[in-house]
Amino acid sequence: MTAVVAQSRGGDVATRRQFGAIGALARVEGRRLILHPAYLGVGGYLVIAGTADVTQGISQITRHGVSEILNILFAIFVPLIALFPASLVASSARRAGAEETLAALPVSQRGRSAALLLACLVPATIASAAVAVGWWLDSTAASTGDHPATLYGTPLLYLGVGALAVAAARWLPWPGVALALVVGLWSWVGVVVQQDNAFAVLTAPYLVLSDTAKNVSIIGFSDAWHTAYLAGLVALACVAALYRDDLRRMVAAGVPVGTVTLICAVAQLP
Amino acid sequence: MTTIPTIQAHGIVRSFGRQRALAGASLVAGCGVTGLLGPNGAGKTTLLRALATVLAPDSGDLRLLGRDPGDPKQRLEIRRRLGYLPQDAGYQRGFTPFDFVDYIAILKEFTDRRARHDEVRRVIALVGLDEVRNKRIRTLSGGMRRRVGLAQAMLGNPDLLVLDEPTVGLDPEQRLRFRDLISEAGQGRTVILSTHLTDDVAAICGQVVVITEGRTLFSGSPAELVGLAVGHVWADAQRGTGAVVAWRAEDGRYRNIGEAPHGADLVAPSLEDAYLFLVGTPATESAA
Repeated sequence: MTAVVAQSRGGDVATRRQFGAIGALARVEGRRLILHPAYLGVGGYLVIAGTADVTQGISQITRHGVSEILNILFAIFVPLIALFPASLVASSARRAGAEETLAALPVSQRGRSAALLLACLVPATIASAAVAVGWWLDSTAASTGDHPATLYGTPLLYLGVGALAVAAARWLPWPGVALALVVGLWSWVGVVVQQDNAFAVLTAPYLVLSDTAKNVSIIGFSDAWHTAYLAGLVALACVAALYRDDLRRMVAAGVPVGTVTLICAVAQLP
Repeated sequence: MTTIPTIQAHGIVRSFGRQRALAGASLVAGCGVTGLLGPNGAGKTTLLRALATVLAPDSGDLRLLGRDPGDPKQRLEIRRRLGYLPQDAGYQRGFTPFDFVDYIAILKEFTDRRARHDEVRRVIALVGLDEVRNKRIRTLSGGMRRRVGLAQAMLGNPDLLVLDEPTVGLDPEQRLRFRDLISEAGQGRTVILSTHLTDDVAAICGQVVVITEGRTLFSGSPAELVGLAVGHVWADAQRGTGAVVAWRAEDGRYRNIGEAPHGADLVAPSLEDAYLFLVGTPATESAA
């Protein structure tokens, strides 16, 4: 028995098709992320709680007040919650038993990871927009104004937790990993911020603002280097997420990124 | 244009720890439907996973669509022309048939949204799921879920379709519908399906491959397989002493398969008889 073998479908087209597929998948995954029940649940809760606060006179609608709420929500609380949808979407195929089907497709798991990392830009953009609105409201109010680092630090927080969630889904395929990560991050930050050690405080994975830092050990640290350090952590998480099945490439990409991140970690110190 | 078999697998070996799932299995298949028969644990699924490029063999020579799946670039080219329905296909929670097939279509590099949606609608209609395409998959029956799996495998009219037990758990009507779909899919492309059901093989397969203990025991047409059992199936009031397999039929007589005694009341073998004769006989030397 024989079959007619069709002409091969071109070599350089492959790269463009793969990138095109990853872009299309990123759009779908981005929609899955922001429509995830974790976000919708939190969003619903916040609307109800905020309305209740205002109607009961607990909160007042002022420019500064709204700005503070937006900052607290989108730069502190929601980034931690963002880890859950990213983790659940990243692990959904494995939990559903669909990995076998996906393994035979042209776009590999690395491509799917890349798409999901790109998809994390969607919640990052929405949150950044919210924080930007808050920053603008505060800057037009008669107040001291928020530190601009919040503006460029917020997307890093979302991309960071997203990348961490994807990496965890690839490396630690067990239930409850997302919760353990959130508890771990929360505990890590909670413990080190009280330390009298600038390196420990500044290397924790959170955004330290120079105008609000109360820890005397870090007075005078560099905002720019701190932001670069956080960007390095995000890049490391991306490398871990992308190269789960290719140790050689992970080392090749991880060593230079890790080195730069370490340099940033030291350079940010007062 | 070159004419070569779509699947050329020779001496495929694959182990999981100490367990050897494939011990030199061979399979050559071209255009049409090829049935893969074998008992539980024979290595059918492992072989199909290798054919679907999901699993790399430890050793052996494997070429699919004239390409080497061991080479990443060639593997990508194979995957672009491959459809695969695994034995236990799962579906993401909350997905509808349309969502799932669309998701797979993206991963099959259908990047143009409109063209992709047209293709998704085409394959969903092909498997008869048009009316439930926007219902959650988890609310569908087992047969409908299998059809969702078949729909994703059919995306883009693949040249090679690998189906692992596609009719398992289906009621007779759904099985017939599946047979029809698979038979139609076998026109102009290579379809390989593993099954326990010899009825399915007899109904739609132009070629049958029997594997047991990780080795290929037989490869040929269903008629050739049946031919192996001619003179080895007989009816008797008692269980035959030379029978490898025997069971009591509805007429109260035993249908015996094995070395028929002299003067036995021989009956025409079915494909199932031939399969049982083959796998039930130790050290069979009937491999083609």
